[in-house]
Amino acid sequence: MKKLLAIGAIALGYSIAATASLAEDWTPPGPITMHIAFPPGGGSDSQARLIAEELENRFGWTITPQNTPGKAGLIMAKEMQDAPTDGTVFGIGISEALDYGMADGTAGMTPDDVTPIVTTTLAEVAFVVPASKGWETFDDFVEAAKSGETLRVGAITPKIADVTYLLGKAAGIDMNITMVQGGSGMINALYAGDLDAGFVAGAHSKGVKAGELVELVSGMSRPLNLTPDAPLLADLGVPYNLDIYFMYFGPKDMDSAAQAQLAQSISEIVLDETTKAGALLQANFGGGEAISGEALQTFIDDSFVSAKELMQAASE
Amino acid sequence: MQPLDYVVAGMQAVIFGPAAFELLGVPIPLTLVMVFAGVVTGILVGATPGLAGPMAMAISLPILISFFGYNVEALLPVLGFLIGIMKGATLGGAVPAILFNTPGTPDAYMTTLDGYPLTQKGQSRKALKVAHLSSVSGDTFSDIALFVCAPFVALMVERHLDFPEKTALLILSLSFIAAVIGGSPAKGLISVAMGLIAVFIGGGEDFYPRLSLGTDALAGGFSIMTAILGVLIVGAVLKEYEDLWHKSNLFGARERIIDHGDQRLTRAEILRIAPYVGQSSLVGTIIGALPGIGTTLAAALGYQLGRARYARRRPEGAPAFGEGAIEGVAATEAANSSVSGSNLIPVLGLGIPGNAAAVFIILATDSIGGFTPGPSVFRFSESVVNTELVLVFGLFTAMLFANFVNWTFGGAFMRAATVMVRVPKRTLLPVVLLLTFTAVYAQEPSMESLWFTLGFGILGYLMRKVDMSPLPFVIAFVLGGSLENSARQAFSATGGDPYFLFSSWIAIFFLAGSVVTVVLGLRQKRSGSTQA
Repeated sequence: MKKLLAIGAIALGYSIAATASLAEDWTPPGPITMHIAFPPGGGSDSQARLIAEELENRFGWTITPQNTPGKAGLIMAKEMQDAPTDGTVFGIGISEALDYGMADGTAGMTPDDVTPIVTTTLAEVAFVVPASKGWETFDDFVEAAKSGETLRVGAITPKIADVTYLLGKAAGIDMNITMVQGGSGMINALYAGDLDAGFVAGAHSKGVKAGELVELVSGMSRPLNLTPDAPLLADLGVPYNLDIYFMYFGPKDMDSAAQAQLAQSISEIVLDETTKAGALLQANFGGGEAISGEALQTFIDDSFVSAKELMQAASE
Repeated sequence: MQPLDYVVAGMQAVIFGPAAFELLGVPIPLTLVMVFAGVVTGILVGATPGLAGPMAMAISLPILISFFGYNVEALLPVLGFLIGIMKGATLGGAVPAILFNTPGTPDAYMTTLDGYPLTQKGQSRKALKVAHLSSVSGDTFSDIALFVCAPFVALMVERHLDFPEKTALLILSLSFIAAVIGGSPAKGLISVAMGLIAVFIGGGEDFYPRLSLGTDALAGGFSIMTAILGVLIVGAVLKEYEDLWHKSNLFGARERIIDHGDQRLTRAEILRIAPYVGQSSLVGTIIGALPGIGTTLAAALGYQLGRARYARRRPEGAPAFGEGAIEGVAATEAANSSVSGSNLIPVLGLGIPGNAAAVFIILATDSIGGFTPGPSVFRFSESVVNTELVLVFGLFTAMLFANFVNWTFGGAFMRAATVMVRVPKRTLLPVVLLLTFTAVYAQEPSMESLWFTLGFGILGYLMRKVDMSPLPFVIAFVLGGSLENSARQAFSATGGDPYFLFSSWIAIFFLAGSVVTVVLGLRQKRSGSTQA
């Protein structure tokens, strides 16, 4: 993954250099509608609104944020199918909408039906348990699951539910996997004792710092920031990962000058910690990560294939 | 942080939070300014026949959000304003009831019974003073009950309720609301069912949209604002228009009010009304804590109990209840105002709104984010700051300040609000309609949302035509998502047990309670109609 990121950064540098002159020429032909694939309020929505605010400040554009939540971002992707391609309509969601969300075909879309613009950050996905349980490692968790009653594990997206299932399968334990609403829903259920564990995407960091929650496994392809010693999924026999990026995308065949300008402007904002958006990303996810151009397209194509395999593996 | 530190931090969040402006170099906290503005708005709205507190809350919420934005800092100012309206409106509702025999809000109807005779005797200012004193006392009592009870309710829920029990509790709340609001359990159930169907459109866990008839417009479902503002406000406005059509010039010239005699409230009179205020405050607080039973019932019950007490202890020569007894005004006003604090107990403890005003408190926290009402709010965590708990104490501080404003300036604003009674409906209704559509558009800038609002408005109008309360619809719409989620979670957490609702005695007890509530409601209705 580090390699991929490095390539991404280099590619981004090139793509910015190559498209700078193209991008400088682009100004939106009218007011912009920026869809947000999350419900209003909460960290993800704030991130999007702060980026919109900074774009307005820097370039004098008019941006109307509009929440279009549902189906892990697929509702927003559908919304964009008939949208103008001149750069006046785009949105922010998670990469899972384009890979796992479209992989089984029921959505009637593939990643080719949208134009990826740029990522803003990688969600810090970890398998988290309440500290009160006394489990310090994943082995402790497995032991508890084998000796006691079936444990309840939460999942916030269908992809996470599949990976959780495979994690249990690899460890030889049964779990009751329960869908919960967003990171805050998961955290509340963990604190209330309704759930025993679950993959969380960043909302848990405060609890981990306070010693109330413990990270047992990294869901990403790289180690966790707060618990670098926690094993990766691959170490536990699960050949998939939960690299979920927050990312911007637009309608299919979006104007390439608009795509380049937006990628450049948004990455400058998310990588700059002095902006409100950059500071928020720093606080919640350990900083922004802007991948665009070829590198982003490669990531999406690869994860689309991997998502199909994951679905297959989870249904066996 | 220790519990006391949380209380202090909550107060600090209000007092040292963002400043609205500086007065002689001293920053004036934004939240306090918003609470003050909310109380004044509430009194004016309450004093205007045809408007009610929840209406003003509904219209102002989207506008406030678009002004303050979606961040945690916006929570206290926005909630402060909404709570100010809630508290001001019950106070303002007494004004037209006493002065013109026209209740400004439905719960002020009982106030007309003794308030207006007092005005006819030239004692209108005294009646307003009694209403002010009783209303604010009841409100303060209720707030104290909230501060004490909410954490315990929340802790009990967290300790004893699992996913299946939470699902059963939501079913019980909805049945209770259907059975008690509006007087007809059958219509209440239909109203709840329609609310649930409306909220289930477009949602669900599958990747294809549910109940959308294959249209893109319905694929995203109805947003909560279009449904609620449509049914609650546009529906009411359409019905008012119809009433205007039938009886033109509903509010013509008002008679002049001439006061004579001493208008002061003596110490002896205050002591005379004190037991009535105490009794009604207790009744109102208990009723407020139960979901679904509104201020109108509290007022009626407070008045009846007051009358029973008065029959035994009526002073020699004093007017009877209904003929201008100050005790009658006190009993009603204390009861209907003491609902407003305790109705936040189910909101903060369980995340379940009990009445229309509470719906907007939940909506505000849902929309702005950073605060999810429910059991987890009351975690007195020591090692790390539970910001939600700090917010709760900030909210309590805002409520206390609203009471302070009511105590100190409320009386003066009540007298000033008499001017609102003279606003003709033909001027008022278009303004309300325009503000409603503006509010919806501010939240969701698309023409679709306006059409949906109008559609729900027509639904709300039809519901009122057949005497069906729209409130069960609204509460079902708000709780529908939680009901579905908790049922799904209960199902999967119990390992796919289809009988999860019968998995524990608590859940069975809640389910039995919902059946009993509806059956009792239906029987009562039947015996009531045979008697009639």
